Amino acid sequence: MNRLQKLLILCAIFLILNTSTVSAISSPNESDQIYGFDAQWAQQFNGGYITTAPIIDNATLFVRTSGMWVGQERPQVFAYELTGKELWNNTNQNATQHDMAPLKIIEAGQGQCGIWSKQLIVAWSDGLIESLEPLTGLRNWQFQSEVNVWGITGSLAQDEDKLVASTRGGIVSLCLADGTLIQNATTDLGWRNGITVTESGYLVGDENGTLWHLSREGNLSSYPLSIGKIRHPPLLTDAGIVIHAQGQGQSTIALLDENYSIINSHISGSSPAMPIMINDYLVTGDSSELRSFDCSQNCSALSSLTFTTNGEMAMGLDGQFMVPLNTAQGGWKGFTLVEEGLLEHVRGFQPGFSTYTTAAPAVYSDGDSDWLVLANDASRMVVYWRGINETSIDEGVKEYPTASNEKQNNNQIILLVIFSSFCAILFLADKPQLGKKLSLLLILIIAVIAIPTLSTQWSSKVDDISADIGIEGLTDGVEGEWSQSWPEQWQGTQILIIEIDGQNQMMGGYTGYENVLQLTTQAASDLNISISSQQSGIGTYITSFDGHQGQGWEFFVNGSRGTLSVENVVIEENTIVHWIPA
Amino acid sequence: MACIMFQALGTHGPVLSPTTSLFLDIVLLVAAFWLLATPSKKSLGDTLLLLTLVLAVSAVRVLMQPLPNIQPVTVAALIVGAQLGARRGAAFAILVAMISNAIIGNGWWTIFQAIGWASVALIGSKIALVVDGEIQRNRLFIAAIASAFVFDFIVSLSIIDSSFNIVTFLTYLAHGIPYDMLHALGNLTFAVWFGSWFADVVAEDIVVEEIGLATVESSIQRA
Repeated sequence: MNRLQKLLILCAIFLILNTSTVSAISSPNESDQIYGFDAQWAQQFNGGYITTAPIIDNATLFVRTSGMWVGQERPQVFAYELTGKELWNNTNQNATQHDMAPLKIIEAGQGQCGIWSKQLIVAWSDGLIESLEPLTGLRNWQFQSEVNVWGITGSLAQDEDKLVASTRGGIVSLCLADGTLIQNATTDLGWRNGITVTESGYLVGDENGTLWHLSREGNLSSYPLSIGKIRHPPLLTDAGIVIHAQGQGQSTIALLDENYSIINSHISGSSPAMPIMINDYLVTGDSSELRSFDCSQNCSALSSLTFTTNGEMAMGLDGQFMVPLNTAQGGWKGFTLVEEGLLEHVRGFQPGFSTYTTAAPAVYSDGDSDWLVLANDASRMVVYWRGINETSIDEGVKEYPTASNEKQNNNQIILLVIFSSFCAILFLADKPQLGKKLSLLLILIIAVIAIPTLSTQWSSKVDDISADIGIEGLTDGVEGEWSQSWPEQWQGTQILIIEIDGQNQMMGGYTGYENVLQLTTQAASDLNISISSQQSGIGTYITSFDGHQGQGWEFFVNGSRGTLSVENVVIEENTIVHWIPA
Repeated sequence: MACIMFQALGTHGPVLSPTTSLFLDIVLLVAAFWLLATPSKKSLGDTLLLLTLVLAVSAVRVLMQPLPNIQPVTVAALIVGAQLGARRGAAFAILVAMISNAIIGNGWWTIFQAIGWASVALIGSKIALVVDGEIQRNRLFIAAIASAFVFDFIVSLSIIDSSFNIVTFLTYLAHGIPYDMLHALGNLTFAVWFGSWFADVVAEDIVVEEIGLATVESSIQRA
């Protein structure tokens, strides 16, 4: 074998390695376990963002990406079955700005302007509004709105047989049946200024802080509020209209009366998120706080929590609303409103691959199961599933195998078969030296594939032997057994303890977490303890909890010192993980 | 005797402060340059060759990082030690550890990895892997397997802290045996596939350099 052949083989090995790395990105990883849910499949889109929530309709998932403003990547809209099979995708080659207008499903209907079938509405930053057939992506109709640097960036709304949209500099209403223009009014420039349908017409804000009202009869009125940029659809509450306007370094939450005059206002942090209503309660977010208000009468302030969110919020499952955390840590936090509107943090949803996050999650229930779709600013989307009848997670995985995992397994089998055949042929062809070399390579590949399983089993054996010969490995103060002082409902579940400054921070009642990393990530998030970790080729290192680095950290599982990296230590249901400073 | 450095890590070892980290980096760099400053002056080409090897092997290590405990650097250190000598082999090992860890992840373990691979290079220089310009293949294979365990053991020492005793350390080593075996198997594979080739690459270029240097020196002497 000459040098060229060897180099070619070397290149092939690197290619295989590289391919496997890419696959790993697009597959749910171990730490993608969200509390009670099991990651089913993931999709890493090309460069750009996912800034608005995916939506699920009739077991079909729709998601849109945003371009990077530069380069060749263009924004796209995708449709998938919940099992991960892509149905279609559309690319807009002309959209070169940030595409963040939420996707919208319109149910079939009829009105004065005609009959329409079920449709997916997609509005683009190049001003195009498209009506698509949801299952095929084929276009029903389109409308080109004005463009001033960019086009549509806000949410659209349905008003009976009309689709209404806040364009870059105005308001249009279109017939849902064929996209015919019905109304067109000019306002000042807007950005992410979704539209709200009221009894009398349509409300939209602009970048000058003016609230605009367009009546169905075509009368346009403007109401300068002078509280900052209005970058969300105005909210209608029992107490009046709510605007959370973005000012210089701060924001103003204002309640307007029926004459669009401010009757109540609160100053809050900068860069507000899109506020939402949960029953009679208003929830706002910004770079500083998450706040709740009672809007049954006058939107009085109820509670606030320190938080950073600048995008969308939405109702999740289990009565929680989910808020994206727009920091480098990213992820989503679940909250509820208790005791007459007080905010309470329930738990975090921290995917393994986290970054800044602005899109709300998508949730969907189909009777037997719940689906949760999380997508972040790095254009990574992960689809999670849980069985409502408490089907075990393992069974769930079997029921919903990921396409990428199947493909990976098939690739491995094909690779092994090819190699084995090649080796056999070389031996038969009287080239035993080359046959030996390839056989060695084959053994190495098999060993690499098998090592995670082998190592776990080996470690278990070593632990058993250690226990048999009396090596306890216990350290003073490490909790290894159930304590009567703990809440009864924690018994038999997974419990995490973190000792910070001599104080044990504890959380229990977890089930279904497969390794120490998953449990630690989730429980620390629920305890509001930040984690710093370091990745290397030889494992994940937890370097600090809440900024406490000390001389490093070590963990114990049921009292025994952890002997593998955190993602490689498998835990059972009845497990106590205890972190102490080294 | 076996272990897999930090793959088998329950303890995370000391987390270095930026100052300590900088200090250790300086210590490693000084050690590398001290080792390179051999009594006989080396040519620029000789130095460039070593730097090329360092960068190439570092890149290979980074590329192969997704594979658990497959360490091409170990065999490379063995052969570089055999061909270029203990000093330059050790310098090669230190620089590869520093450069590749700058991408993969730097920390307390870097100094142990550097020591581990430098020790492997030292072994390579002492066991007559190259005789009359020819790599001794069987000897290389055995050394490749053995050096995996030597390296892993040295790196395992980095996790010892006040809470460890001999029993817990042995238990820790025992846990890492599968990964040590994988390291050894990977080393053997590299040695079988690329050992002779890599040894030739290092040797051929050195020969050219030495011929060039000798020619220039003899010309100077004649003049």
